Amino acid sequence: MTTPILEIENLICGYDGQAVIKDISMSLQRGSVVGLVGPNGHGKTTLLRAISGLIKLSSGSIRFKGEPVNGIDANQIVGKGIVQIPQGDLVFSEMTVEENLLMGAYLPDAHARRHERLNYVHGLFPKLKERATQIASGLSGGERRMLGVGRALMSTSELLLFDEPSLGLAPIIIDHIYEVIKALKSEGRTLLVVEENASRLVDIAERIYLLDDGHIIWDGQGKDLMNDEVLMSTYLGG
Amino acid sequence: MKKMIAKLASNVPIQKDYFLIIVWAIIGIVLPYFVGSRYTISQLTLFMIWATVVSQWNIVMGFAGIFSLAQLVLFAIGGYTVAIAGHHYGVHPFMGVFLGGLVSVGAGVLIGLACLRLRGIYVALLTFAIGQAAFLLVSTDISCFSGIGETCQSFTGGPRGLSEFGDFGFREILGRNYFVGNYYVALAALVLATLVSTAIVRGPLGFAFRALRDNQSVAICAGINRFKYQLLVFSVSAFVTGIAGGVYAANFKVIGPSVLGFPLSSFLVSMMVVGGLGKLWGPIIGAALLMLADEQLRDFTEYRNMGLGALIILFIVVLPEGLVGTAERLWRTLKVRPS
Amino acid sequence: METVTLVILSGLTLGALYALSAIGLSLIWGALGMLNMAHGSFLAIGGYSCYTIIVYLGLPPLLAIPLAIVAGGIVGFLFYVVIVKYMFHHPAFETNIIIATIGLAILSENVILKLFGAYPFKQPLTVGGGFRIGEIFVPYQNLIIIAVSVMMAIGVATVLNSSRTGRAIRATALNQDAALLMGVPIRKVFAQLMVASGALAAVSGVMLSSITTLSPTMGDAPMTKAFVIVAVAGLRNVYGAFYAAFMLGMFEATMQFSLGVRFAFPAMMLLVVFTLILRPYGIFGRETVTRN
Repeated sequence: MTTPILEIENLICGYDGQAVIKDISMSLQRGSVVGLVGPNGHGKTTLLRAISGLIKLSSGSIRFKGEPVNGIDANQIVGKGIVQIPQGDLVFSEMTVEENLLMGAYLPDAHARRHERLNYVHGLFPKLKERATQIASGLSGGERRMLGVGRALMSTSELLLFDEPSLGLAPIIIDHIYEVIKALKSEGRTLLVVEENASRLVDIAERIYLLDDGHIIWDGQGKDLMNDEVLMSTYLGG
Repeated sequence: MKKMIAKLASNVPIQKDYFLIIVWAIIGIVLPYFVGSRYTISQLTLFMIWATVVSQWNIVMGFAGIFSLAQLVLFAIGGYTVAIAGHHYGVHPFMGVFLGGLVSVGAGVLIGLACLRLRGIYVALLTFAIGQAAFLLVSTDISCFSGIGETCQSFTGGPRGLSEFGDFGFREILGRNYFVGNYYVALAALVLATLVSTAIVRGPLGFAFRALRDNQSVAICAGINRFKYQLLVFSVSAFVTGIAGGVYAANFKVIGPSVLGFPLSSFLVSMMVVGGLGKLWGPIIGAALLMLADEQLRDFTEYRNMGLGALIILFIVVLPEGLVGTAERLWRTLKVRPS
Repeated sequence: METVTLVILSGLTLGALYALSAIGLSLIWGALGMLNMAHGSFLAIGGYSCYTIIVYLGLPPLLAIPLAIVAGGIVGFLFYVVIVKYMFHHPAFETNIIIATIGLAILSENVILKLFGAYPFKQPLTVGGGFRIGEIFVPYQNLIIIAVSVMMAIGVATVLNSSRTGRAIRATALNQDAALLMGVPIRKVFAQLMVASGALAAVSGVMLSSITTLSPTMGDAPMTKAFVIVAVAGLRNVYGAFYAAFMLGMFEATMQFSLGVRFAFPAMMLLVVFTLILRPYGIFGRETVTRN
């Protein structure tokens, strides 16, 4: 087995000295899709923020391609090749759709290839091409999510952290987003996808971690999780 | 009886602050019998005037979250009311001080209505501009209002300021020691100011502002109207600040546009920042320290304003909670940690 | 007719001067959410740098402008490194920085006072001459000021709207976390902005002192006007600041000719105060209350 692309060991972190993530270890193989599920408010987003460097670790380590990345500034972590698609979209509301996408190609490597990347993203989401000159705050919820995904895909990063892609969207748009996730997987990118509900991830994820109160309480294959009635009813609402 | 004790016990923090005010007031009352020198008493009088102003400015800025830079406009209005009413209309300064408080409230309500519905930073912009406009208006006022030719006097006295409007009239009662009378008037203003700020901080208004600060949306759902409360605090503080301005004018028997200038507002801001912005007693302690420092460094007056600037920067960067806030924090950590 | 021409010339010149001071102010306000009360002293520093370079160092005036800009940039950088850097993680940054910059303003004004004295003197960098429209003499100096302010506004707007750095600045202003997640080094962006703001202030200071005089408090009045522009219009873009500045300049010139110089600014403040009582969301109907 090759070295995992992302390794997390004994991670503890939180806000104002209050631990939200209480000792987590996990690893991601290159080119895989890994799901992270669990009830809301139990640290899923906090974990992603820690990986992206937006919050400091209390203890533990994060390695990306064998190299420690904890303690590095968030903007430098992007440079290493870890890109997050944050929850709530966080698109730049007063910039146009195209300017938002160009922000995704901010770093020099991606900036040099921005036209090629723009064509690629427009191919995945034709809507974003139609709306190129529109201000982002005028987009619908589904379009904003597409913009959030498209912006992250402007970079040439290897690892994508995806925070609740299906939150608050109509089923048809969720289908579209998951089609894109599948396409990304076939391109060889690695994805860590956070969801409250495991059902969408079962078919696509090689491995699923179940997070509860800052701990990983179960991990394994999607179908095993779906067959475990106790886990399903306790943590994932049936 | 039991009920009364329970009631007293539940009011302990309030009792403590009012008790402190009484103690300080008594010390203030007997002090002139121990320190006789005219200079010291006059400096103490000035200290109490500045302490009155900063205690109110602190309530407005540090506690109610109104970033007003027009507090000295309210002060100047109080002072100029005494001067104008006395000089042009022969009104006695005691009456003028009260009048000054009322005119200040009027101006405060107007400024408040215009500014307080705006977001914090805009309040700072507008109130600063209002202060500049007031300074310009007063310092360029040279058209004749009363008198003719040689004795011509403009309404506000223009750049030279206004004098010859009388004083509190303690000379007739106390003779040479009339300045002690002024001292007691300033003491009364300071006691009024601390009572007002304690009542605001420890009373229902204080609760409302803490709620707004801790969780704005919950507070608004609970029916706490920020604009209404801020306007109330702003007007009440305008009254006390106007009175302080009146006492200042009557004490010095002169007032000029320099009360609206940058050096004075920096001096007062540094008092609040050194003592602790938002803390009930912080600015008054700051006022005492800054007055003392000013006194000690009288040989270096040309560096005074530079020093004030550096002091403000130093405190806001290193100790943004001021001396009182920092002391409180240290005290809390010492208490929590078992020794 | 002469009066109208005179009012227009005066209004455009005032508007240009206000625009020059408003641009640097709004740039760092927009991105960092910080109000720089020392902006007026930055203007003065720019003006005095130019004076020092020409009078004390004896360098040619054409070299003085770029050197004054460099000096302004250094001032902006020092401001970031010594003060701002240590403050912006504090939850009360927005209010604390106002207090800190009040301190900085009085500090720098008094340093200038100590070095050069209070006596106002003339900026050696002036262009003489002019031409006539009817009876009215139009000095070249005024035209230069108007041209520089237009160029500065266009330059800043172009950088902000169509360059990679400009996009990063706007993104940082809109959402710092999201900008970090794009790889934007926001601290570096802040430092760059402070340098740019200081440099722009230097240009404004040189222009301002070329038509008035150099004094330690020369920047206070234009800064106050810039505040009013910002408070009334609610600044989002450089063009907004620019238009508002010229509107204000024209209004003030009209007032000066009808009411007299001393009432022009107070009359404007009175108008602003009453407008805000009646329309708390700003004259242009923007939701200034909920702006972030």
